[in-house]
Amino acid sequence: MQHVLIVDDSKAIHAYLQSLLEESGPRLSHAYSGEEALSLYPSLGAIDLLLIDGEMPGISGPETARALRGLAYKGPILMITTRNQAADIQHALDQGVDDYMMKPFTRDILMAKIDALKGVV
Amino acid sequence: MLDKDTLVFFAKFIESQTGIAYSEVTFFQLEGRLETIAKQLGFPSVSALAQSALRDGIRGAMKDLVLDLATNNETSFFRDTSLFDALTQHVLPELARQHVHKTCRIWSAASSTGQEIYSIAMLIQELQKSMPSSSWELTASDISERVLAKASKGLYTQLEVQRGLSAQRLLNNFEQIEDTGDGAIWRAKSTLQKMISFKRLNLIESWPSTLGHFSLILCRNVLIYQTVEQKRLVLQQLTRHLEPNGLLVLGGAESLIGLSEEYLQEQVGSTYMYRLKPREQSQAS
Repeated sequence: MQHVLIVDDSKAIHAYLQSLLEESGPRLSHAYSGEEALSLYPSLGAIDLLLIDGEMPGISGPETARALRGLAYKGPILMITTRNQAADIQHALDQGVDDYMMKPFTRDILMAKIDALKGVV
Repeated sequence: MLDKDTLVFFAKFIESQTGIAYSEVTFFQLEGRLETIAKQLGFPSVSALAQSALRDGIRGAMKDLVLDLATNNETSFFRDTSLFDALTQHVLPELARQHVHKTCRIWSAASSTGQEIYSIAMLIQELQKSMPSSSWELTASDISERVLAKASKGLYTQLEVQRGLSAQRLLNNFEQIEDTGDGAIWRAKSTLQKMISFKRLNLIESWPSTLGHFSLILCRNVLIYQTVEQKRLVLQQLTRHLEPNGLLVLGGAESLIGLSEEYLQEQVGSTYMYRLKPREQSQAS
């Protein structure tokens, strides 16, 4: 896994994810809104994993995922969310998200989720 | 640094919820875990976390994390990808073909809080879409009444269902419920639960004669904690309950070398299992 795009409006989450992923050493790109992610995407090159906040002002995480799938992004999408209602999870899956993780999450959960998504192309 | 009264406050909470006791000797470990939780929840310090807990009680996300770290949670659904890939691609389909006209029995010995047996149940349900005539009976046992009670109810916290379960499998196999008071908000669906019978069993004591025979027994990461004599005793008993040609699965770091001549080691996918030799072959060796 060489290049990860993090999309979240919270700088603290970007910093936390960076600290958890430092050891495995992927290049990280950062977007602080869905709109910014869509604007940056064409110039980012190949992305191996997208970590996306479920709830952002403006375009939501699932909507951003759907738009990125429309831009032919085929890699794994892991959504990080505060909502764990079954309907919300199913909606995100229907928009092209592959898996989700509730906040707060632990390092072992993040790494296990990422590991499980490695087969997703 | 947290003062002793604060650590006692957390320790008593953990013991009341889980039965796990921290003594003064292990308070440093508890404090380290609380520091991790403080960071995860965005508190500026562990003291700030403690103040919040003392003021408002230990609840919500803090409670989930405190109890999760206290149990040093190492178990997860589909733990060990190579094993579950082997079960999915090789073992379960083979067992399904062999058991069209009879019930295939699988036993998870030392099942702990049930993630292993529920994972197998989920795989079987997925397999039954393409092999509907297969018939299965799952048994799960553990020495601990506490973990067995949790496993039999199929109740899991948000953190627990995120260990090893994809979102789609979660939605397919679990339903959301009101918080049971100890943080559990997901329950295994009845279609899974009715496949499994849960029994209390101490592997190093005598076993009920009604246990029966199994095509597949999983006994993972249990023997490593036993003396050599206990390992041999447990293996003898496990062997008595395996069908001819049955499979025994141990933990990734365990082996039968020096413990039993009754098995052949077999590579299945990228993992190893132990196939019970035919009687005459094991007697000859």
